[in-house]
Amino acid sequence: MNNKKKLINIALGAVVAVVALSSLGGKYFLSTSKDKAISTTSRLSDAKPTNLKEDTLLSIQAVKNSGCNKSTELNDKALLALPQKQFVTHHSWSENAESFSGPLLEDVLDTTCGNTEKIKLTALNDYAIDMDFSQIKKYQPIVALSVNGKRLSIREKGPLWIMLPLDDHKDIAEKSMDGMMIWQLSNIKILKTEDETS
Amino acid sequence: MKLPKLKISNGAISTIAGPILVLCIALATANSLTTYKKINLQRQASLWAVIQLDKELDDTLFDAQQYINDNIQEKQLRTSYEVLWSRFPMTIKRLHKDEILLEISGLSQLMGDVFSHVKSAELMILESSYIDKSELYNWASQLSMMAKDINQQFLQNIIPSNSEYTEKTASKVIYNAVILLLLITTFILYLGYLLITLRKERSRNLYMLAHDTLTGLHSRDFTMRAIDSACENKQAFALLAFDLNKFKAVNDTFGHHAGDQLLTHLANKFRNTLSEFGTVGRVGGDEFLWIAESDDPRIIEQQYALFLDQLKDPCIINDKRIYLHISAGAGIAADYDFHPTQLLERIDQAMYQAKSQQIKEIFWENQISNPISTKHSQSRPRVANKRVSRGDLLEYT
Repeated sequence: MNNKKKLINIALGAVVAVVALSSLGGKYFLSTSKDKAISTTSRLSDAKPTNLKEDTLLSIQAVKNSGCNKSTELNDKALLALPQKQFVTHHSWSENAESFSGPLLEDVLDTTCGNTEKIKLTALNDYAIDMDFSQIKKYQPIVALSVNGKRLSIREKGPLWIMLPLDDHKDIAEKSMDGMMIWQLSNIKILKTEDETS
Repeated sequence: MKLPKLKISNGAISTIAGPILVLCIALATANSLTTYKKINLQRQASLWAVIQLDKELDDTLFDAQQYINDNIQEKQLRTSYEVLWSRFPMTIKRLHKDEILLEISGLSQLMGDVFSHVKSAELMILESSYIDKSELYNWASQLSMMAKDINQQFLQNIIPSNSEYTEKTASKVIYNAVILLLLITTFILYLGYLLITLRKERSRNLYMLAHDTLTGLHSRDFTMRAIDSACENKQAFALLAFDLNKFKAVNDTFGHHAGDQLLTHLANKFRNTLSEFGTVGRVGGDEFLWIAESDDPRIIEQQYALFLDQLKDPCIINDKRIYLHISAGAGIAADYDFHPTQLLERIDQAMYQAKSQQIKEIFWENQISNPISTKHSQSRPRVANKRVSRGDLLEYT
């Protein structure tokens, strides 16, 4: 019985592959190649940052050999002090467009190191992704603090959520950026800056 | 305005059946593929959601333990609890999208129960200034049991290749594949039906090409080819040309319908006798050829006598008896070195001579008294086109 199923799976898989290549495939492959800017890393590789200050929302550390050697801890006040950006966009976690506001990710990174190229973003639940910031920068992602004028709670994917003005960039394939828009963001590691290469 | 109803014949149905079947096969293929893809994606998403929740449960249980052991602060436990809380609506929403998962197991029910249990600690963990450790311990041990239940469910009913979930997804895929297979079989049957119809039509067309539609005797084309091939094979045969006397007069007097009846009547006589001993074909209006299998004049004359015997019965048209008279010219193929054109010309001449001399028996070409040269064969002596009085042809009953 299992062998039969396997055979059917293999046969159907082959057919799916052929069709995916010919018709549906184009989109599929495009999106996977674009995803190179993001890669998910194992949660176990990073230990939780300890000894946080009581009101810290986001901690940023530049790793060794990143061309910058600083670390910052940003609280609510510090994040709100940065220039705030607001936009309305559709996204994968809601049927309707929502209004997001918060500082630009670029400005947040600049509090620690300038010209950041590669970063690792980690969520409260240790989910982490690597991002090629030099590629994503042009889309002007923000570190959203509020949605529809209301501060994000942990239960609503807060307190910090990376969000892109997707509606302003029609060139972004649907859902191709979902992996990058990490929610419950708590930590950023700066892996590489331009200063190191120059 | 009322439009006339379209009448779809059998032919039209079989013409549109092909494209419709091809369309159905294409749709079924697309359906199978999308179902397969959807099931796989759904399975992936469901597994991912449950695994994430399980991980969150573990993390929170670990943090609760750490808190009880005074290793972490209240804030960290609260964050961990909130993260766990935030996972539930997402996971439950995700599982509700998976129809197959909903059909089986009490996983969705279990999820709801665990969520209720998690919610029950809201007051204890978030609202109070101090988290009671023994209360937390009780809550955490219950949660730990529930987490184990989820794990158990997962390991038994979803992940293994013989699990209920796998069986259901597989049967859904197989069901789609069977539909596709049935459609393909139908298409193959349809092609078979088309092939059979075409073969039938072809044999009918071939029959029509080889036969004269009115009399059912062999056609001119077929007869000529039969003569050519018999000559080519140097097969011994005699060729006889027949002409129905005064046929034109019958046509003129009684009409074409009567002429047709007369020809059919004559053809039946041929079929009953001469066709048994060779091939009879209608080569013109009232001209017939008999390719006799024997080339012995005596045998041929015996066989012809059978035919003449049958011809004694009159043909009855509109209660009137018409007696048929035939002129026959004959020749033996070997005498002309199996040269079909010469043979045909000579027996034609013999037949015309028989006609002009009103000879009732077979007139053999070597009996021709004044051989007409082949050059003049086209100016055949024609029977005077005189109108025959009815008395010549008929006897009233």
